[in-house]
Amino acid sequence: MYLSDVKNGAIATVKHIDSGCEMYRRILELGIFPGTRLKILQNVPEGPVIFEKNGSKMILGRGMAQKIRVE
Amino acid sequence: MASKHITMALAGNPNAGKTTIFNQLTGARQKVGNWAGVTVEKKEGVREHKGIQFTVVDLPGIYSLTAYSMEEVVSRDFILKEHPDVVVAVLDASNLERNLYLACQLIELNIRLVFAMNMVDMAKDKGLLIDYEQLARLLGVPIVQTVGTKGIGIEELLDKVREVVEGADSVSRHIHINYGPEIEEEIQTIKGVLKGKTPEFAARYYPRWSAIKLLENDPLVIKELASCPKGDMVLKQAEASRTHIKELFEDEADVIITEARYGFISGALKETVKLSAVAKRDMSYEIDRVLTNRLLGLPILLFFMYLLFQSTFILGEYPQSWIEAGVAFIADVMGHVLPDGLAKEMIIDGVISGVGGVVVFLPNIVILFMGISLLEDTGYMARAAFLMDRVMHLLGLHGKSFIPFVMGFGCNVSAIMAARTLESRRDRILTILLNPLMSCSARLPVYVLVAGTFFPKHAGNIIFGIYLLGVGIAVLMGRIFSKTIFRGEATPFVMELPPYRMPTFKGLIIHAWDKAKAYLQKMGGVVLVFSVIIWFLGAFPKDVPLSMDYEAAKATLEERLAQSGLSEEDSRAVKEEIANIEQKEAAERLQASYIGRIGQAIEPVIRPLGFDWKLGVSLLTGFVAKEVVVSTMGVLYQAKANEEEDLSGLQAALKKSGMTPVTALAFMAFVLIYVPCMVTIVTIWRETGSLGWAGFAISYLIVLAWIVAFGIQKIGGGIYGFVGG
Repeated sequence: MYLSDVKNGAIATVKHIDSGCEMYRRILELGIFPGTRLKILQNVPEGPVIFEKNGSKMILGRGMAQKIRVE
Repeated sequence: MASKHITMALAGNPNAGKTTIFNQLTGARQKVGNWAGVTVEKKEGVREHKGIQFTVVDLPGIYSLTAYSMEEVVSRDFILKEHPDVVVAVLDASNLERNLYLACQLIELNIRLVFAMNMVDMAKDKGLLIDYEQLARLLGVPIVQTVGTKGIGIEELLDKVREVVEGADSVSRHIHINYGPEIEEEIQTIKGVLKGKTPEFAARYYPRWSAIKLLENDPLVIKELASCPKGDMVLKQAEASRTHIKELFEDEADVIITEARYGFISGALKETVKLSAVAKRDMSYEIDRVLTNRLLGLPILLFFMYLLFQSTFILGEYPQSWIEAGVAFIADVMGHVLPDGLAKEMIIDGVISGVGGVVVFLPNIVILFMGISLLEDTGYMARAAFLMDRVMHLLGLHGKSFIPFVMGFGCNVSAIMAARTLESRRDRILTILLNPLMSCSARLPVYVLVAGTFFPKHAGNIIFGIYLLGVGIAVLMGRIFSKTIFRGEATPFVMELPPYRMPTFKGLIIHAWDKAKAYLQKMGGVVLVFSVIIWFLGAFPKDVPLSMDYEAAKATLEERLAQSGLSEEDSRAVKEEIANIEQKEAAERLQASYIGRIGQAIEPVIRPLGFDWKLGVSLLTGFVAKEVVVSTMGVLYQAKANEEEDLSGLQAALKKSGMTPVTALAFMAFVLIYVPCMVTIVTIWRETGSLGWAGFAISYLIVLAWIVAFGIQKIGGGIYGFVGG
């Protein structure tokens, strides 16, 4: 399952990030890497995802969310 | 050794409160935004503290010290090349993990560091119990607790900075983050080659840092090293090391290193942070549930925007009428006090008509800017970016570009600079090229004047419509550009969503005052100068051939007026005739003046749009600053409304000039789209680094403006003619 498929309010654990180097590092720098637990706050169909990690909220575009495999 | 002067640089994540700390340190009155990367410019300030002069440099907000974005490069270059005495990293205590990531990279630079642990009150509210002393010992960097918004810890911060510079701090020591035996081995190897082959480079930057950056495949370090003699040998070793690590871990070295840094951080946090059970519930969740709601979010955003523009117009009206009265009063006094002559003409027809015509819009502009900063300071802007993501995809961009767009309604110059927060060059240039279509506040006076004259009952709606027209055209052009010149996908959208904050009243007032001051300075500078120039061009040459002897005609009439026995009705008719003749004369003189000649030269181009040469000249001068459009109109239409220099005089003059409501619409649309002001052009040039893009922006906007205005004239003229006739 990908982050883009997670329902509002659910908690997901990042498994793998299927993306190119530069973006991967960017995501890592924001503190998201395999094993990170995220709480999905808003998942807009065809739009971006808002999630929470350790009390801070972030927006991730759909393109990116479709590349983060979660459980 | 006690130094009398200390340079300190402020670094930190966006939203860590860096700008607030900077303001507290230097007392600089500047804006605190709430969305990622508000401080795109390098700002400096000074502070005296206990006999020491501190120069404080505010670096842009960054998450990391790679060469990923312009802000990162700017910050890194400053730290590495300008060698500030101390770097103060402002860290958000309520969001430590990610903030410490940047801190770790600063530690790796082996520079003098102080951590300003900011928002310690918010961390406490969140239920975080942090052992700052222990954390400082683990990191080898002294920590000062601060609450930027309340000015807590600022003096202590300066004391600590001084101690660190003087080497008197007991906590400071350089620590190495351990990347594990395999990576450490490669670091050692690269370091060895670096020191052996390029000693000069090894002296310039801390070799361990250079080695880590080479493993991370950092383009800037590689580029700089490549220009060193024997640099290629180091690069070859780095390449070999990266390949070796990839074989070992089946992952890129930079990924392993990033993970190791986070590993180090989580280790440090485990030892120093406890979560207390009493965490205050964050209101942000409830607010976000409504404001970012799938169904409600966008209508609410639209409503806020509508409210912003309506209140700009409606609330602004009251103070506007006071200023109007003031200007009229000054003109009246000057008319009586000054001796007749050129100087009087210049002051009344040039300065007061020009500057006075524009200064009345001060309230509108202040309200607009206050509204925009309210959106930013509360944190709503980031939500707007989220909501607008899908819409922005229509333009081939993503939600983050929405922020420069909204700022464009205030001023395109700062908006174009804000586009620096966008990661890719493609997104940045596209956002910059479309930005002038966001109607800036300097264009507002034109709309307020023209719409107020021709659509007095619906001015607010008409103006909102003009803004929407700009947005609509931006969407259209964005689509066209992203399908032609800027093919390819928008870069991924990643952005932090800051918690909602209550904007302070004081902050808003300071901000409004700043904008008012800037506006008044513009009035005293550019607008004043151009009003005088326009007046001069309109008043000279004095001895032009006239079609009839106006003086004689006037004299005959005045003689008749002086005769006794004229009935009241007759004398009024004569007076009217004198006024008529005066007007005719003035109009003829203006037409023969320098500016009349310029206007007539460009008239063929704008004739199809229904604009007369006076409008043409106003547009021409608007290139300097959009406020000048109105001041030019004030000076030019003056000829027909000599008695009343105030705005209603200008409104009356515009109505009498034969301008139709359709032409008024076409004119507003033209002002909306055609060339942005000079400063914006220069900013486009600077930000894109190319004169070509600036030239492109000018030409596509002029052509577009002409086409749209022509369309309005044709379609509107048809409807108007049909309805009216």
